[in-house]
Amino acid sequence: MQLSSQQIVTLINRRSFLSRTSLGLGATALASLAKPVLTAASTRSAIGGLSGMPHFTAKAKRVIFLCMAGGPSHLETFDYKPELARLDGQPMPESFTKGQPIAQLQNTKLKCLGPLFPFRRHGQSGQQISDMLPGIAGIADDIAIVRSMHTDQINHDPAHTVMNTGTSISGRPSMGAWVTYGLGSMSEDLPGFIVLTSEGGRNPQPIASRQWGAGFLPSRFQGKVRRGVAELKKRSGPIQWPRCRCPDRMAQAVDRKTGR
Amino acid sequence: MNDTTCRWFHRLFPALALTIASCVAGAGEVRFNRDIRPILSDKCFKCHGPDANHRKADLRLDTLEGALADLGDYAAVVPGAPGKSELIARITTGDEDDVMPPPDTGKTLSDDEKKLFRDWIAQGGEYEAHWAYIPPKRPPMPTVSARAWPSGAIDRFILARIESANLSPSPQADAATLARRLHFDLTGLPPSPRLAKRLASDTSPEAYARVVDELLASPRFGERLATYWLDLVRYADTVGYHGDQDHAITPYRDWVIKAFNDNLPFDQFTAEQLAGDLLPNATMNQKIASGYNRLLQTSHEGGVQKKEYLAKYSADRVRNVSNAWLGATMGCSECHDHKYDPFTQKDFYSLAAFFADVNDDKTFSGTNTLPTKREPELQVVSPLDVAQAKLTRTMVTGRIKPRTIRVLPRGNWMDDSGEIVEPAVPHFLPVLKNVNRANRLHLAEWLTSADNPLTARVFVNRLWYLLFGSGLSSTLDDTGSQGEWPTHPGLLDWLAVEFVESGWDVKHIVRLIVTSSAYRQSSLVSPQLREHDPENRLFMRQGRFRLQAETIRDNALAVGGLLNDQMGGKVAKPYQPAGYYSPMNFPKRKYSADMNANQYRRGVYVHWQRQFLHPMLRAFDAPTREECTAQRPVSNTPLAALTLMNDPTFVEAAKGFALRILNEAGATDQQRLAWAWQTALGREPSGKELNVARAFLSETRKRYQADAKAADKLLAVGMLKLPVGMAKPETAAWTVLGQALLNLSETITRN
Repeated sequence: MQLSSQQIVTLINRRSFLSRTSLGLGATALASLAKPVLTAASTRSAIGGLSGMPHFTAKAKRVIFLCMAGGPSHLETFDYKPELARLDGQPMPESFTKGQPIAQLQNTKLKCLGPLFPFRRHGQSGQQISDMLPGIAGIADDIAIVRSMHTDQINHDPAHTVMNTGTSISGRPSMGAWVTYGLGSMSEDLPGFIVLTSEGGRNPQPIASRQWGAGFLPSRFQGKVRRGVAELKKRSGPIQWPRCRCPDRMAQAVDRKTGR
Repeated sequence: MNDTTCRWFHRLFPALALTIASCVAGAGEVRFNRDIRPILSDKCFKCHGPDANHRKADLRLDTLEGALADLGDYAAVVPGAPGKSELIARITTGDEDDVMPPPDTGKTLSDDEKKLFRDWIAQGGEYEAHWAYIPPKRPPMPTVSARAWPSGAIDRFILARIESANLSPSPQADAATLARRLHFDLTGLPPSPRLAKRLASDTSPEAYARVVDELLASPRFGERLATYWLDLVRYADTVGYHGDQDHAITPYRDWVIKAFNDNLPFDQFTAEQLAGDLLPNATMNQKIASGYNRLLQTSHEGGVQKKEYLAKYSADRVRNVSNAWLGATMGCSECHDHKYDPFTQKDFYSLAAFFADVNDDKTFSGTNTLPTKREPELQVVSPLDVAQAKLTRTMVTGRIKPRTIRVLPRGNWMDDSGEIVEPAVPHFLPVLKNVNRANRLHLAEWLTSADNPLTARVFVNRLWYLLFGSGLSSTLDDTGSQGEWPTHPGLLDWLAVEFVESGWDVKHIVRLIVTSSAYRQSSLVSPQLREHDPENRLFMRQGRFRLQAETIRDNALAVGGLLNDQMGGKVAKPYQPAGYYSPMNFPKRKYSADMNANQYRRGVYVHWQRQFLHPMLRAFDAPTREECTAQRPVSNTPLAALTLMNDPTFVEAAKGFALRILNEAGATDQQRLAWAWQTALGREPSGKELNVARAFLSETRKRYQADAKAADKLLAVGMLKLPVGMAKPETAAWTVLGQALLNLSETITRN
């Protein structure tokens, strides 16, 4: 049985086909066959991505995701725990520590530390926010706070990996890689997302590139790293290598059929 | 690809497998493994598959008994009677509450898939055991009509499929293309212009076979295959987690290279890596090979809990050995029975128990130093050190009394309620021969026993991928239900049996493949091929694909006359942007590029920093080697183009190329251009190319004659100095021309 073009279109989701075939030869053939699919999907402004994604009308155009390792604790910012405040200075209840992975804290006296700064309710929603964040407190009704996150990883590296890839096992795409893979990006030629790493401060934890890596997805979905805002402000990047005038015209001599 | 996590790709895949299968199947005949299993696996097994804990409605569809089971007054499958089969009723009903798969799974069945189910049940609803778990047998040789084309068994299988689709194979590639293809495939380096001439002047199969034998005997062959093997076993020069500090393991890499060069039989190759320490009177090299058990990522973070990390290391070893040798995605069953394949959670921990005697104590010996405080076990000389002169320390397998291994409920290392397990192989595969407590050596022997259905198939399939660009089963890392049914099951089995019966002779299989007519086909895509087989699943032509990262580097260095072919020993550190390591800490570190001949060594020796892999390698899709990688993706990004154009390695290679052109190629532009084309591309330039190149050259000359500083700046890149008396503007102009040639798509493509 030989399939007609129309059958191929119905059988194969074009975008998944494109992303699956790394050699891209089938892609060339299908690009023209699958035009109706493309037209239907490209009412969005994104380039690339999977068809049928997102499955609702998007309001957000872009996402800024701050992973603030070494930042202030949730217990001092957004996550008020009255019981913890009550137990301030007292030994941690055994019910809380027994059987828990507490690493090098084992066999030490563990005491509760309540919030060092007061919390207050803000906005109509009554969100409890630390006094240390007056600016954010002023927009309490415009933000969403998720207090139900948890982790099974207590060491820095695997915990960061869970935060950014969803599992502590290496080799999985990061959040940005999934978003770029699924939703596409705004430009065909530029990276789908940019990563700013911070430097300085007190002996910071090392950062692993898997936090913005593409994992098992092709490397075009990985994030492009810039080292902090200072570098963005520089006229040129860190790579002070001499520029080559792009010899584009050499490509004009290439025979499209043979690739020579 | 991470073995626990390839679902996204595979979810996309069955539709394709179906397309290809349908193209070549006789109309109407439905085969379970080819047509039905992929749909069941992708759409049904998650709830009605091997995982008993999550099975819905007590119905399992991965076994015949399950499908036929009496579920009251009905059964899912009633052979011969689609009308009475609940399965058909449920996939065709319009009732949202009853329809399968349920709408909230996001899965649907196409009309063609529903028809396949109906036809399959009408034809008797037979099940077949999963193809990959049946030990391969040498199948009968297919008959073909174009008797002259096949040069051996491989070609008979390939041609029979092509003929059954009323098509024909591609003509043989020209000598220049063959020379490049063979050289890149077998050595990872470009050919000398002489080789193409040799192949063109004597076109006999004997002359071609002699070239193949020479390349197989070249020490470069081992470097080429090692590059792939090191991806599988996740070899790297750093620990991977947290501080990503350096660790000492290069002698293992050298052992792999030597093993491929010496054509160490694959069964022995396997045993020495998994259990070199357990071999009677183990030699130094066998102990070095046992460094395999040290290749996993380790953490040297303060506050790691020994018990937790022993569990992580144990799981890491299971994921790797099962994927590298068996193409199995056993990682899934760390927390639950596998959703698609028969691996149970107990299978996972039983396999882990083989590694319970590996001494991991040193891993916990301290933090925050470079290299890590983990002391390498053994003082050795590199297996590639002919003079046996240089002593170095390396990590090898040390043994302890086996730790107790339990099934960890939901993968939770703190839960000690699970049953204690002894070393055992997955329960549904051939049993381990009777021993008291099996060890890693028994595991290695089992992996390479004649009745193991997976190891040989997986390895020959991967060799086929290296030599064609895609495997006979395109899912190189998944031989399970979600993997692709092979396009040529007979050929895959034939090769697997041949591999075992040849004494696991790797070079023999490579030789068989590269001397086939199928291998020697042109890679040009005709409109007919594009129409009938856009993915080239019938292998009606050769593959055309971008070279891998290391080969792109090696090729540029070779063309530039810079390549240092010193084998083995310490890592090579190419130029790298300043500050690239700045996000690392514990300790902070500065990268110092090698400012001597070590700079120009092959990619296989480049320092593999897992978290901050050299940007050139990364831009061309080299994996971080955190997990087993059987197939590198191929990206085409601006980053890669910018790397080729600006990375000092490539600018310096172009400068070296320019010096070669000016010194070796004759006096006229015409001669020089012809030589440059021959050297970089293995062919003559076309008239059109010559015109463009001449115009380009004269423009560039003028620019550098007018701007001496620009020439100085360009020629200052890299350590290579201009010999006294070389005119700078002229050298700069040819350097830019060299860059243009090194940047051509053709230069980094294997045809």
